[in-house]
Amino acid sequence: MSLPAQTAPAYAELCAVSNFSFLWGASHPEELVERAARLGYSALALTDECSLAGVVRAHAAARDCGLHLIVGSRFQLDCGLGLVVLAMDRGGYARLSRLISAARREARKGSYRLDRTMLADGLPGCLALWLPGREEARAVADGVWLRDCFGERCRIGVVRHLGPGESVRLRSLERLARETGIDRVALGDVHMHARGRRALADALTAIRLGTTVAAAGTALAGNGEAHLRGRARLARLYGTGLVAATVELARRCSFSLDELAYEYPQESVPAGYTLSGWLRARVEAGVAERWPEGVPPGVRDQLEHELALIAELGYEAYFLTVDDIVRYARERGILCQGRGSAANSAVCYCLGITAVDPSTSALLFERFISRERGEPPDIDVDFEHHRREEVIQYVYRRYGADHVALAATVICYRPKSALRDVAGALGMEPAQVDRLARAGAGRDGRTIDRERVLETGFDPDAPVIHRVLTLAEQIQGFPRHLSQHVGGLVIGRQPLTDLVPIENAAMDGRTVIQWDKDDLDAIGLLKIDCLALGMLTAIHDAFDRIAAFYGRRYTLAAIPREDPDVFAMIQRADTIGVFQIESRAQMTMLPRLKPATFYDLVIEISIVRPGPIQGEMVHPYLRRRQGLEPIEYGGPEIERVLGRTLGVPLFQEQVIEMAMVAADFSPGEADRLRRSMAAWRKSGDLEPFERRLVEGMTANGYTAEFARRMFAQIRGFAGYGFPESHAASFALLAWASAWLKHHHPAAFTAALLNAQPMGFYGPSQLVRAAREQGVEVRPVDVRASEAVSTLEPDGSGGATLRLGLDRVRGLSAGARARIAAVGAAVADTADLAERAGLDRRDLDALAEADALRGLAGDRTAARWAAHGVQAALPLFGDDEAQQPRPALRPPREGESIRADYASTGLTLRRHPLALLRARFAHWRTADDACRLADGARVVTGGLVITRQQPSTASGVTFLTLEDETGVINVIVRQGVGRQYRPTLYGGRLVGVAGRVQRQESVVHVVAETLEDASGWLGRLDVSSRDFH
Amino acid sequence: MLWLDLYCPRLALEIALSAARTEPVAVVEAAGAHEVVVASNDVALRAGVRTGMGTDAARVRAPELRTLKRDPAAERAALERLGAACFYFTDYVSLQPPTDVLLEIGGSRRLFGGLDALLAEVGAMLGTLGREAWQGIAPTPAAARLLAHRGGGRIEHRDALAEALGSLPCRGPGIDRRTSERLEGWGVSTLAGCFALPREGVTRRLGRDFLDCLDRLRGQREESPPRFQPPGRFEGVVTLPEEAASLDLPILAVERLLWELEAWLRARDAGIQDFRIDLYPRRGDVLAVEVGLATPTREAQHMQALARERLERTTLQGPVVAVGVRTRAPVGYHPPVTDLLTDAGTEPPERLLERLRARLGREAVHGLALVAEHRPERAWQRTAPGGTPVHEPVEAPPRPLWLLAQPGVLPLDGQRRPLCQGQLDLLDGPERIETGWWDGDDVERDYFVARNPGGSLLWIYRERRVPVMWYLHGLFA
Repeated sequence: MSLPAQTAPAYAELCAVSNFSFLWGASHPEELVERAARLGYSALALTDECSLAGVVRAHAAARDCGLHLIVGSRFQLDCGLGLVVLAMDRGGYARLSRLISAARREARKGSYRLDRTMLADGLPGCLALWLPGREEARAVADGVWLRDCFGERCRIGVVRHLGPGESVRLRSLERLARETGIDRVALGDVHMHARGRRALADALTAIRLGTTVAAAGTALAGNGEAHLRGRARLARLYGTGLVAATVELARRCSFSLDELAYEYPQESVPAGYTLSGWLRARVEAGVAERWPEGVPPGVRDQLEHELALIAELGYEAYFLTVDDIVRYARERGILCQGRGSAANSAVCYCLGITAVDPSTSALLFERFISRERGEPPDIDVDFEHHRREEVIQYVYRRYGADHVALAATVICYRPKSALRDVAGALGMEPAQVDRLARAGAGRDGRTIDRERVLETGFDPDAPVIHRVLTLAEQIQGFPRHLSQHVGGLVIGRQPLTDLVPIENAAMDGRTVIQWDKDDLDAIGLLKIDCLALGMLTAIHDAFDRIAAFYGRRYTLAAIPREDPDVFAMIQRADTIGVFQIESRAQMTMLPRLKPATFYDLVIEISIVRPGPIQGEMVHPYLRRRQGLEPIEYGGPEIERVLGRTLGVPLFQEQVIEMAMVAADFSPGEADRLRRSMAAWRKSGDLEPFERRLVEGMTANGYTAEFARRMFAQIRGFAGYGFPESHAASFALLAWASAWLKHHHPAAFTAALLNAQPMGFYGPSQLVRAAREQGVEVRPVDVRASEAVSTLEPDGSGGATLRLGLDRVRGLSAGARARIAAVGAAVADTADLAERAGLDRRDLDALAEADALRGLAGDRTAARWAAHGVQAALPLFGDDEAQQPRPALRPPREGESIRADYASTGLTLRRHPLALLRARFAHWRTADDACRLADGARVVTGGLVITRQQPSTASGVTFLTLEDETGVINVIVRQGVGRQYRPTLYGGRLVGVAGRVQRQESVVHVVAETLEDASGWLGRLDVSSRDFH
Repeated sequence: MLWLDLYCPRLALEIALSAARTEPVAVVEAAGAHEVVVASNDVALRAGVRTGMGTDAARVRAPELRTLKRDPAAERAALERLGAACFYFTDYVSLQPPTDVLLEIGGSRRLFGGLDALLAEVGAMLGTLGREAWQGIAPTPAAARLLAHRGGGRIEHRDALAEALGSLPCRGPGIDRRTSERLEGWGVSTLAGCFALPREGVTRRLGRDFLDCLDRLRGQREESPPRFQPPGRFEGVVTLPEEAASLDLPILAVERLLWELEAWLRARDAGIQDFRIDLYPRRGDVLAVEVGLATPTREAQHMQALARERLERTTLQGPVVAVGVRTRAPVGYHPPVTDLLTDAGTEPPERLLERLRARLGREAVHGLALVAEHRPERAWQRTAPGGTPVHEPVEAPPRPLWLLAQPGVLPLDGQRRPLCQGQLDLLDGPERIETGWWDGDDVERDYFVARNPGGSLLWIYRERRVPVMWYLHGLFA
């Protein structure tokens, strides 16, 4: 670094590991690339151990700073041989990728196995740099083998880290070169970009070895030389010959990741069709189906425009692939729906990928498939959660196991894990490590919070704590291991291993590629997210039940739109069970926003998100909608873009378009703005964009103040905002579920119960909501219940809900089916046990659930009977009926309620609080409390049904309490929460004293004190005596 | 027969010296994939930590909670020591692990001047040993246990047994969880209710064992708990609640064990001639400290004073994780008549070492060991003679045999080259050593092998942070 770059000899670093060699490399790939460029290196080879997981990031960074990046990897063979392999050309890259895949597939997740036979083909197109061992005699034999294997593409790597005995070592390598005839080349064997990471490198070593830095001894590096050193110094150390050799070898490595031409999977296009012809044919078939009376004119234009764009960019195969997967799902009767940037296009509607009608909503297809960006379009498809696996298996079958893999998710150090590992490595005691990790991880878990460390009693300036905090901050964000993405399938035309290494995932039979979602985007690989969505399962089940009961079959597309009764229900926030708008926050918004059209739902879904609240954007929209604040656009361009959201940017599409029309961003720039918004929370800074946006807008005649306010609103929802297309797809499911809830509450509730666990509410709340809607709910009964919840006729043509045997805790799936098959035709418990082949646990479970009441009487009697049967089963001929029956006390109401909850998670009897009301007469009922005026003092309480602590709500906890009259929403501020911590987190029956906070029809109680009354629940059976 | 059951609800905590700590402490054990609390101290109890609670739930209530892993073997050993001490009161003692000791006191209560007097002495002994124990007294062992676990109780007469038990809930020792849940499910909540169920039906549903249990409780079935045979020597080990670098905790643990030793000796009316204290390091060998006594002794306070004195003279090689006290077979004991200061005589095993130390001074005698460390001055260490080093390097780097205790500053010539009895030839180097940041003693040096005009091979280094400073660090042979 001392000499000016131009005078020092040229040097290329051919061996460097990043932190993608987990717990080894101490720098990010980007840091290595940037420093190499700054030092004027001719090239840098990223050679992570048996991995290419960091190369895409390095490639992007290298492109930005104009550095020649060489793709490579280093290995240790089973025999101990150390080798760095560099890809010279595309063929060599494919071989390297296949080699890594083979080595990884041989071993369990996270490790690899490589032996000499796997190198037998000599890896044409690759260079091999050999890191000889210390044993000279063996080294000669190894060298001879390497020379035979790689020919002149092999070098001896000479590493100078100024370790002990280095001069002897250098002479030995010189001899080795003479004896084997292999030339030498200088290697930096780099583990960190700068010497300053020395401490971190030591800490990583200690973590990797599971020891402390102090005890790691000579396992640590003796010095910090394994960093990117200045060229002049390297030339002095290695001599000009060895340094010149690096440059010459680097020159031979001409491969760049840009060459990876990804080809979409070959769609089996019927004979006589071109790709685009076939796509058009598929779309036209869809048009005929969607609009039997003729396509609306606007839609026709939109279709033509989209098809032209798809053809121009060559994305036909992508759309046809998604079409193929969706078609398979549909044929198998699996409900699915697409979302994502490209999903809400007219093409996708016609292909049946989504059900959002383009004639009724504003679409911005072009923004997401732009000519400018080389990125593939993005379509996510949600499938019924119980059946997604079938679809994934189909994709593997359809395209071949070699051509399909899951994208990786890079699991990184988070504050807590960073503190834990570093503190351990620095020898802190386990209990202290625990305490520090919990305290230091901060309230939001995203940053290391020095202030809280201080609060917990650690002195952040004490040397050890200071070291821990500093290193933890450095290690935070370091990749830790590769995990599988939730559903991102990568599909290729050639075997994928030619493009990217594949390794074993933790799940048997699953494989992941070494790149994550962002890497795939950057390289332009096709990814289809196949996700699981419980609501689709529920909607499908509801459709089936309605069809079976009423003989009328609905589909997502056939559900009537714009039904005022359904909107009235939504406006009352009567939305338990409704997709997306059932959360506590949504329910508080609904009565204020009063959605009255489908598009209002799209907004409703987008508006209640953590981001917009933080950015104070909800209020502007709401105030404007309620006419409390004037709508300002600042200019006609913005009015056109933001008109539909009253001037408030809510969607990513709007941000992009606004930046383009009002501030003259190019489409590419606008897209970068969108991406940095998404990444803002992880890293990066929006400041350059702010300057650019404000300048652009003022140039177009907007005031600087307006522009800055606009930017504040954009920033407020950075990283949180939905694309409008997502929101529209979600709104459709919200509408469908709301419609079902309103018109077919019994079927809808049965379906929700059968799809559990999902959504915000448990069975108890769902059943309660249904009963409040007037649905008759019948208890589990072995003579009447099916395996799942079903509909039963109520005698006057309507449907009642019969709880299924799956409500019974501890009853095996097999037993459920057998009992349902035997049905009503059993005489008594023993008969049932015999005919349905029930074992001890099954009978216990049924007795507990009160499901035997028709056979054996009340719960105590049923239990006595069930327990007697099970003991008798093996003894043929032993007749329980002849045994004396004790006089058992019938269960008290409170006992029954408790047992109902314990076994089925819900009760159809009275609410527990109704029994305890005499004890808690001073608690206002929920019903009563909701009628109080704003600011009124109130003492109330109930069963805790939900407890939410949104990460963005600065320590506020939302409690939902339930009593026999309804629910009470409680806000517990941080101070109160801290004071009543055990009650807040452990209480099941909780009393609250506080003040009413009323905003229009939305009522909260802001808690001042809490009281844990859970003890009374245990005494329900005792206190219930008072009521008999 | 009359049975006294001692139930120690916090034994797990007491043996870890944690019952009286001022911070919340809980002993936890694995239950499936989770950890649950088995015992907690008062501070933790006040914060809302309860037995059976998951560790995470407990931490929510007491964020500062310290958790200790349950050690069943240590609990068993502590229970045995308590059982051995109980022979002071009777010759029929039975252990009921994990938490109970049963004593037959029907025969011996008269010797102590009645039941109350006996119980007072039991209470005093428990106090000295630092054991909390709930006491149940009943004509049957099962009933005594049940009462103890209910918080204590006393039923002296057999005739009153069935009725007195009848009102008790049907939960507790001998009645497993499944059984009590079933009973509850049938609406049966008291023992009277159990007694009223048809015997045939009970056997069928809850098994023969439960019926036997009911019969034993009310004395319809005799029960002879197994007699405990105490071991012939005292042996106790206490795992410290945290690693101790200083002697405070180890001494506390030894004192506890010596109280137990006294009770143990008292129960056999014996004394001892010597005992051994074992200090267990985190790794490596046990450090044994022999304490000899001039005359057979049993008073804990006397032994404690000697132990303290011996321990304070001992140098710890590293943190101590556990402490033990062991004796040989006891000897006959006569209350002391001589003064306490006469017994200093201990005979350490290594006489040579003692003689060397006597001549050269205590600090002058030590062992040597290599340490895997890059910093040369820390790459070796003094050890206790015969001690084992913490960790030795696998492959030792080239180092001079003679390393200076303090690196010496070298003078420079006009060109700022170092001198050492003349001009130096740098033969090899640099070897760069930069390490040690974690203990505040970070070094940054470049080492060279140099020869001076006198032919001496020197190991010198340049301080990288002050590049004009050269030091002599060692001499090659």
